[in-house]
Amino acid sequence: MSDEIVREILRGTDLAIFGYFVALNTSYLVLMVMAGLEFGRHLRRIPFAGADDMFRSPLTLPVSVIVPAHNEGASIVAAVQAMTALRYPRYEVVVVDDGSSDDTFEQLRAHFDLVEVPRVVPAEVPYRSQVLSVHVARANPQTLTVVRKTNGGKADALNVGINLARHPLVCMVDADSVLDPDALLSVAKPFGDDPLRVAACGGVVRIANGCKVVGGRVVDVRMPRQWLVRVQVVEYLRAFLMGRTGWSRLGGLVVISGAFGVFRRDLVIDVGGLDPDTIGEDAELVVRLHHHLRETRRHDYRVIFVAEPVSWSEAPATLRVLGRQRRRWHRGIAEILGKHRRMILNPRYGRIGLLALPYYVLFELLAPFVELAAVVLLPLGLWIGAVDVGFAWRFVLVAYGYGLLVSLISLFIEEVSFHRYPRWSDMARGVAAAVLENFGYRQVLAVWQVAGVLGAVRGRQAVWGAMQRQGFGGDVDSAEMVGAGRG
Amino acid sequence: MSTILLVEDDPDIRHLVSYKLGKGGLTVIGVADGVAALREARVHPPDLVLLDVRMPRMSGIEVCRELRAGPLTADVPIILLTARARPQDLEQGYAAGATDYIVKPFSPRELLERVETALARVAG
Amino acid sequence: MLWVFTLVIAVLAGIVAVTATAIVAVRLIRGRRQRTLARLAAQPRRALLAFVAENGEEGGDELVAVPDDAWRAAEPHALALLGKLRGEAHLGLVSVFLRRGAARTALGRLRSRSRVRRARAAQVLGDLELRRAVPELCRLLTDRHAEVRVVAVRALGRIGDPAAAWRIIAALDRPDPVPSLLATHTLVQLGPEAEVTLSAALDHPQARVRAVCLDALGLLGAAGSVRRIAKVLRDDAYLDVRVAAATTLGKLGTRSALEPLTGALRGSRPTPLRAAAARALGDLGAPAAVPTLAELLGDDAYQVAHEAAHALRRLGPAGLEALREVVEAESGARSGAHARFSTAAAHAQEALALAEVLAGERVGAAA
Repeated sequence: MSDEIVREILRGTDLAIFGYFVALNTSYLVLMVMAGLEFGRHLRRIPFAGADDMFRSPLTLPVSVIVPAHNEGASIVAAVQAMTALRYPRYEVVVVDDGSSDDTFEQLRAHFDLVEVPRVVPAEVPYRSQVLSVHVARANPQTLTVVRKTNGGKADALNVGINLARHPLVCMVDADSVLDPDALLSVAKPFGDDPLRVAACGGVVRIANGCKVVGGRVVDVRMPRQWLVRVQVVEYLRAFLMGRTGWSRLGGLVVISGAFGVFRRDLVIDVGGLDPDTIGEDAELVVRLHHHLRETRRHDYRVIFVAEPVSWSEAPATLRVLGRQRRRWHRGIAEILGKHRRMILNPRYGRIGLLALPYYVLFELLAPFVELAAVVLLPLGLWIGAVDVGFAWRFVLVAYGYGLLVSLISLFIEEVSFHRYPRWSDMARGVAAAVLENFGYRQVLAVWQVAGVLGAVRGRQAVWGAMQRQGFGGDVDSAEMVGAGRG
Repeated sequence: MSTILLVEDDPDIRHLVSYKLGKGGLTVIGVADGVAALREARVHPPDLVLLDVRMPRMSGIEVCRELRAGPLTADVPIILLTARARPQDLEQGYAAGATDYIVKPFSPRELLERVETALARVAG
Repeated sequence: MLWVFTLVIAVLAGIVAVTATAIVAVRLIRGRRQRTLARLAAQPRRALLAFVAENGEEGGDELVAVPDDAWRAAEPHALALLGKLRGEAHLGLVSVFLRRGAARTALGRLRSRSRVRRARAAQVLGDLELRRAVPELCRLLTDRHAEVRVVAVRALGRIGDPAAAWRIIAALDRPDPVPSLLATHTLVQLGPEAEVTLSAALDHPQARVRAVCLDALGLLGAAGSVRRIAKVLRDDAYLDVRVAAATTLGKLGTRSALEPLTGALRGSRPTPLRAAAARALGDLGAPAAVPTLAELLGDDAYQVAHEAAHALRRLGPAGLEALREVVEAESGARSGAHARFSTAAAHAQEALALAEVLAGERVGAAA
């Protein structure tokens, strides 16, 4: 008798999991349709977007590009060189050397002929570390500033950079990001077109592995060589490019990647800068901005995502690094949702409270748990006879097939709108990666993500308020929420 | 016959200038960025350089300085092509060693005249 | 139950197959279209370059005779060239567009139902700098869609007809105004003839309008309006407007601006205004401002002290001398390099260091 009850429960659970997968992928599909509409809208407007006028106008809002760097000696010179050669009328680059123990600063000093200048560093946003010295390039003292400070983590480095930034817009960029020449122009453009409303604007991040980079520019886009990275390419297309564009169109964008995003400096100061105690400091800032703006300005503001052109980042090529990254990302989600739990389902915060944040709880935070539950419970159900073989294989096919379909559609939209991958073979590899993703990758990912959430729960109890000294970790380690997509 | 090194990342302008100066009896070597320009200038020192200020990889100002530092190109006339002509931009250009500048958008005729004047000044 | 699953699987498999095929099809079609366009555009592009290089004297008829499909393929290229040219070459190219009926088409499309078409047409009319399109473009300033209004404003700026000034000002005075910086830039493009309108608009009830007009007057160098602007600086009810007035007075650079700006520095005034006034005094280039600015170096507000220090730096020898005095007074009092400076001396030191680097750059480059 009790066996029968167990079997009933298992059968019910399996069906519930199935329903969850269908709902999850349907939500991706909705976001993707939104993204597709948005891309069409964007492409039709390029002829009169006025990028050239913006480039020529002396009144275009100047930008401070803030580049936190921690032990980037090998690549920092090329990165800064590329960042000082963007197409934008007036901007400065502020490199924050966050207590590097390697030759990051020496490289910069030698190449840009830095001279130390005394600077009074205001504390418009609080920071915890100590500023050691400020340097400027002898040839361009107004366009390149390098700050040396004691190590305090990425968020703290950004806060110091925000204090030293002289312009009304601040752009946060990872030191290993490779920006397209027009990237800054596109991401700053919404601020010029709608200055009263636009509060922040994020740019898309794509994967640089495999691409040919010359002089700090991606000149030839290719698929990476390892399958592990190829899968991530598809994942980035689906989650970053399509997912965020969709959310932007829905007015519910809560994540702007720390690898490339522009903010109004005065608003960042109003909310107190980045939070050095949160792992996903970039996403947390955006949620806090929403919180602040909803309380002070009600609905009249916008947080936007721009899909073209792009910033390119190096993705982890080994399981170890990837695992560390994803544990961090998911821990970030958990911490942010925990910290701002009052906003969830609170009508006061409009679409953010009622739609975006609940979505993150349901389909981002919980997804890996459900994924793992399926991996365990379905075979279990089969074993004790709660479900039969016919149900099981159909379950697997529908759940994974739907996921595959969502990935393929994102490849299709990419092909129609941006077609960044010119080679036939690369497109074929993309499709293959969308299939392969379902075998192993998703399951391993779920394990890491669950570990990340558990880490957040433990971390909350153990080191609450204790100051952590942390580097930035390796590779694309800016904390992000990634819609990793399981299906 | 004089050789002009044209450094400009916009292909439209590169073609247009090559065409115009070619018609005027000059040989034009067009390159798209500063790194290529410096390489070319070291191998075949030109009689005049037309240099776009804002380019990928290296700014025109940097290229200008490098050219001035090189023994073969220290005295070559350099004309900057610039979209912005604020006094501080021009000052920076002249400080880097530019001989003259032409503001974009430009008139092809004026461009040819300026180039010819600069060449005549060196010859005379 | 199971048959539903089987059906869903079949449907899914179908859609997956269709999507995969669609990816291939899109790729093939795009490739073919690009090749066709390139082939069509090749000849007109060559003709365009030749025409433009000859200052639009020869080859115009040939371009007018280019068949429509080939012209459409080359048109983006021709429009891009328009923005890169000046003088006869520009006029010549414009006349080709006009002879091909581009202006008529665009004027017609300004009334299209699609906002994308309206905006595109406005963009083309701006590229062509067509004066007779001004009234129609002004009408577009009240378009329902913000993006169309923005393109119209930009086009009016390209055309530069001062008669459009008051319409652009009116576009600022509505619930969803055109962006201020864009309006400012456009008003400046209209040239000095717009000055009268701008100056009159300083009494406009809408604060945004006053701020934009102030910025534009400053960029236009409207020295005749200094007294009116000084009055705004003193009396306006909105802080942003007063800040704009201070900045404008600095840009205008006349002696008579000194007194009102000094007045705006008083301790009782809001910090952003004092910072703007300090900066403006530096722009003004009047050495008479040195003592006033030197006093501000020790100000409690970072922005004010910072701006004062850099204003002194920009004032040249007299300003630098004042900065040096502040630093020396303290290093004398607390001997040794490790002494901690007061705020005033720290700001002064920062400005001096930057001055030194900038001077070094000039010397180094000239050598």
